[in-house]
Amino acid sequence: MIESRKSLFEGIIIGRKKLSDNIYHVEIELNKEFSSYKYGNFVMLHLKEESRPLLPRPFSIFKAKERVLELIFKVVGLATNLLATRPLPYSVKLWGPLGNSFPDKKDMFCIAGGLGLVPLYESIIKGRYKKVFVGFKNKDEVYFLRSLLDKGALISTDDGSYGEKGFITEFFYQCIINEKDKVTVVACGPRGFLKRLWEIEREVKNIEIYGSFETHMACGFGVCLGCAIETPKGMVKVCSDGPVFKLKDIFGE
Amino acid sequence: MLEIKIGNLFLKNPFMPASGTFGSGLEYEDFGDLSELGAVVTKGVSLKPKVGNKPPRIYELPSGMLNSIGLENVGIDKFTDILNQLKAYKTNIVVNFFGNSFEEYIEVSKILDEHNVVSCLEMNISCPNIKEGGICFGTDPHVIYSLVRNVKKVTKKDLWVKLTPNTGNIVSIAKAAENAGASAIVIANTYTGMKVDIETQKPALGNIFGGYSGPAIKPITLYHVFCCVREVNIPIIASGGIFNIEDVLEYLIVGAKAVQVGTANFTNPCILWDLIKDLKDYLIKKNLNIYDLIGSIKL
Ligand SMILES: Cc1cc2nc3c(=O)[nH]c(=O)nc-3n(C[C@H](O)[C@H](O)[C@H](O)COP(=O)(O)OP(=O)(O)OC[C@H]3O[C@@H](n4cnc5c(N)ncnc54)[C@H](O)[C@@H]3O)c2cc1C
Ligand SMILES: Cc1cc2nc3c(=O)[nH]c(=O)nc-3n(C[C@H](O)[C@H](O)[C@H](O)COP(=O)(O)O)c2cc1C
Ligand code: FES
Repeated sequence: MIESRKSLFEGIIIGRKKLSDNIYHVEIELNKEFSSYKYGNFVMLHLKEESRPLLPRPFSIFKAKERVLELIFKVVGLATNLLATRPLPYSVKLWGPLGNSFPDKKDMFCIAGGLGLVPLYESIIKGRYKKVFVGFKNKDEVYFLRSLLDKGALISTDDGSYGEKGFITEFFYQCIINEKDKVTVVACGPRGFLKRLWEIEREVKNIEIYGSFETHMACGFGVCLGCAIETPKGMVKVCSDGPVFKLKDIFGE
Repeated sequence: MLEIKIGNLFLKNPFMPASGTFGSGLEYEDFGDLSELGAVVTKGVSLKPKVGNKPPRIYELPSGMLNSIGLENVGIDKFTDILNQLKAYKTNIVVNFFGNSFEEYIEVSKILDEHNVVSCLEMNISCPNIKEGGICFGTDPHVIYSLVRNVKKVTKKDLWVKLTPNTGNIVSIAKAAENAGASAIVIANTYTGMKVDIETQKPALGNIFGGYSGPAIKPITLYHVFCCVREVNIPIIASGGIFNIEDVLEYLIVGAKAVQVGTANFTNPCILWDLIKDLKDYLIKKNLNIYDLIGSIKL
């Protein structure tokens, strides 16, 4: 497999759309073509003209085509606030594609929680999965709905304001316990969501779940060693050993 | 125009990365030609592998960052495989190393001395001397004198000593290193600091405290360079908060002969190459040679 080479881009944020209360979609025009990337890869983005924040921030690649990169983010702090509010157009620096990617096997299942949908969305639309489960907090967070429904995705909200009512992990559980064959599952969402999936994996046995993890990062490609997390097998670097790991490698057998 | 000499080394230009912010150098291959750099300084290596500190290991502050990586590294044996891959580059390879005892420093130096690809050794003395109750090596001039002497006995290569700023007597340490045979002094490593989360009342770093780097430390490190330049005759290499060409010029004017870029590599992975161009443009515009700048401070 040819590893895609990372490179540095000068970007201009040319479009920004509010998707819900605190979730935004941005379009970034790049100074050159974005090389091929894989599902699960991310970029480090630095707000060029700002002295704060000092460090760049990791964001999953939502879509990239030729010279346009699209990201989707939730406002949680300094950088994401600036990204959501600065008048357009403005320039950013970014580098990527970074990190490993989700596995590519036959008849995989896919489960996303909230913004965890971002790195998986394109592969869902392309019909890469046998079954798709997507969970949101509430109706407000339900973006890209129509295209997901086309793919027969099971959608739930925690409060029942859209689709099924309840945690998506539990609908996934109900479905997976009846599976006869071994299933590979790709997952992306908050840590608590991944932890619950790991519990399900331990109980159900004939599944193998890969999840994408998050930490604070400085470089994004394995040099600062700042993104390390502890696992039963020792330290791993989320940016370069991951961000996609087998859940068992992070939480234990 | 940009060439400088440090001890026995010729550098194409005064730019190099600071240890621990540039990996082995190979990770930056996609961003620029390593052969264009004055030197490549590799991540600190020790005799045995080191797992490093408990996460979280980094915390961002308004004008800098705290890190408590804990000198995680693969150990000298595995590191020598990486060294061989650096042979392809036409630049100086400077290997940063450390130990927890005199013996460890000496063992590592012996091994590095045998590798042709290594141009020079950079000794990190900001670590605890486990045998002496964990006191930092770099705060006692007598200890540094004897450590440098002993390392020099086992290597013919140039030895740079990278000082810690967490001491009240940085000038005495610099002098001790010079007297013991160091070829250059690197000023300085990070400043010990911490951050507390007021909601949880817990330290932000898993290790409680860490090293502070970035723009905030530049005036302080600049002052240390200024003080040491007056007292030692060997070249001084500056490391602390270099983010743009103005920062570089300040350090050169004060008397540093070369500079190391650390945290800024995280804000722009091409910054070293950008700075080389910026300095060249500046010198052309002012019709100067780099030696006209070094130590040109007017008091
Ligand atoms: C591989 C990867 C992909 C990602 N993809 C996306 C994506 O597609 N969309 C998206 O919205 N987000 C994504 N994220 C998360 C995103 O990177 C963060 O939300 C972003 O960095 C927040 O930046 P900020 O400046 O807005 O928030 P910050 O100001 O950095 O703070 C966010 C919160 O974290 C706390 N905090 C800050 N530093 C630390 C620290 N060192 N230790 C502990 N707590 C700390 C703050 O107090 C605050 O509560 C991804 C993360 C990773 C690792
Ligand atoms: C993440 C990180 C890792 C570092 N690792 C090392 C190291 O292994 N050895 C060393 O001598 N200095 C290390 N340093 C210190 C830097 O080399 C540099 O001297 C310091 O950060 C000050 O420069 P700056 O403000 O440009 O970053 C590290 C710094 C950072 C931020
Ligand atoms: S973010 Fe620097 S090593 Fe992972």
